[in-house]
Amino acid sequence: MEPSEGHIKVSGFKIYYRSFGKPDKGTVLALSGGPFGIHDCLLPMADLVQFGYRVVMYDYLGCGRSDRPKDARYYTQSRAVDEVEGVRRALRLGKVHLLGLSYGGALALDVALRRPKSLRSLVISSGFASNALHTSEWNPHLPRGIRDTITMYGNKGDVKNPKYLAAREVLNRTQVCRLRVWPYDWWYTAQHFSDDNLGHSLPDRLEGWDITDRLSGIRLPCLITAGKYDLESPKCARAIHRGIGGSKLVMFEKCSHTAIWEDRVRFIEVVRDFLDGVTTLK
Amino acid sequence: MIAEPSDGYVRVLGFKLHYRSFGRPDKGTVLALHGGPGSTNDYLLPLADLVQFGYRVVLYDQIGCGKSQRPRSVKYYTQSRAVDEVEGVRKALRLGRVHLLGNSYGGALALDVALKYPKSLRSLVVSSGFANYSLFEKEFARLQSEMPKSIRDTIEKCKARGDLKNPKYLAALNVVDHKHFCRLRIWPYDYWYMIEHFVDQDHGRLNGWDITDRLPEIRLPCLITSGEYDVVTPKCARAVHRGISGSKLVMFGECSHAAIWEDRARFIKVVRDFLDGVRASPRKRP
Repeated sequence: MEPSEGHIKVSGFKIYYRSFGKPDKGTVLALSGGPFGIHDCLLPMADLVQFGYRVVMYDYLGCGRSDRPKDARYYTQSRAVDEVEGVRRALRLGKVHLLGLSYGGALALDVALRRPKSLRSLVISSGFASNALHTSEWNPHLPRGIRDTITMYGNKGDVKNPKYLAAREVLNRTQVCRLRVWPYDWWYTAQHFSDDNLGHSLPDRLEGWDITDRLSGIRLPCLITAGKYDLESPKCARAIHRGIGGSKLVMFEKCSHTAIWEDRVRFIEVVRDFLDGVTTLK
Repeated sequence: MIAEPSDGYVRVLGFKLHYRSFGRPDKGTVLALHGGPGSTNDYLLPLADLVQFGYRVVLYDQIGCGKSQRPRSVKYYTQSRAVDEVEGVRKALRLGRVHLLGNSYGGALALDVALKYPKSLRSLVVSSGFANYSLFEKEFARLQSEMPKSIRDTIEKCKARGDLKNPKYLAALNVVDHKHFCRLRIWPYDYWYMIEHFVDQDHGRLNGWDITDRLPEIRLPCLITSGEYDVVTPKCARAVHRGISGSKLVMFGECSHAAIWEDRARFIKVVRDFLDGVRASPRKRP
């Protein structure tokens, strides 16, 4: 089965997608981070093809090879949820296993609340359910000085300052991806984060967003993962785990925010075993 | 702004070959040769990790492989034609002098290119390669004889009966694959995809091929790598190392034939440090 790619029309805009493998056991739809992270950071998910899963990923509206309308009203959380459902329908994927990475995890939770019948299961990797907790617990392991430098220059918008860049480098190497050499596709994703010129960011989109109290309404089989050194604090993962009855929590001890790259074999193994378990249930 | 990757077809010696290019040649260009003969360029993707350090990386499917044209006649599948094909790709894509990296059979091919077209190259990386086909065969036979008896018996029995779809046969091969080819419990998609698309394009091109005695002619900076459990054994790598003066040999412990995946970060770091060193030091001239 050759991989395929193309554009589909979703809510009036062209969305770029890629598809790998055949859905012998089911289809995994994967959501990247961001909210303007391109799909490339999810490529190891294609390792699941050899175990009988189809894997589909796409670039969110506003990034990568998808359309980039300038108007802020297209970049709301509610519209992003509709987009996930729109992609699922346009590609006729049927019920999917929905996996979300980082912000994609937050998005996947909202999809699970609004479109539970579209999903077979849910995987939340380094995600969160509350923007307040996400913000207050952000970077739990980062030395204070580094954190202050990032905040100070970030607030000033002086993001080319060498001091800011040096501090970011510490952050990147310890709490984003701890591999000595970043794999091309992850590096490529990180490079394209910075060319978001749409003027919207995660704080804008998720201001006041907190669905912790509603998590108990999610009745899907659910896997939650986090890295020990994750910039998305493991506290966020545990809060989701507590909220969703019967959910499974797996910690990656040597990893930070990108276990999918940092411990690729084990990450895929954990996800595969979870999916196989869900498939057997049916 | 970073250079977007590109791909396409290039006509070389009358046939269309599929290539992929990553990054900009700020520090130089790495041209990489896949193994087989008969695999595809897909599994060499980790080499693109070098882009962030200023190298352009170019991969292509050799004739008869992957997405390249696949003529039937065996006359297109000789070693000497493969050597000219490498030079043809370099010229057609206007790569200038390249760092040539070959993996497995690609390493054997790279050595032949270094002998015939030394002026096209800035340096040479031979990863899990060899300079003597019969040494490789002898060593491979030894590795097989060292596999557990039950595995050997299953493989021999099923082969003799032509029972190549038997689950027991496949399971036995799987043990060999995960011991001497790629030891990762789960094969990364691009490596798995290459195995799925492998077509045997050997056609006896390496029968009696042995360039060990000619290795001293190679005066390029040279890095040789091998894995502890490599199907192309460390002995093959050491023979290349002994032959090329000033060459550097790096062993990858816990790895087999796919250190590029099995220890990706270290493999790329070793190659990057070597390439950076070539840039820093004046080139040795023959």
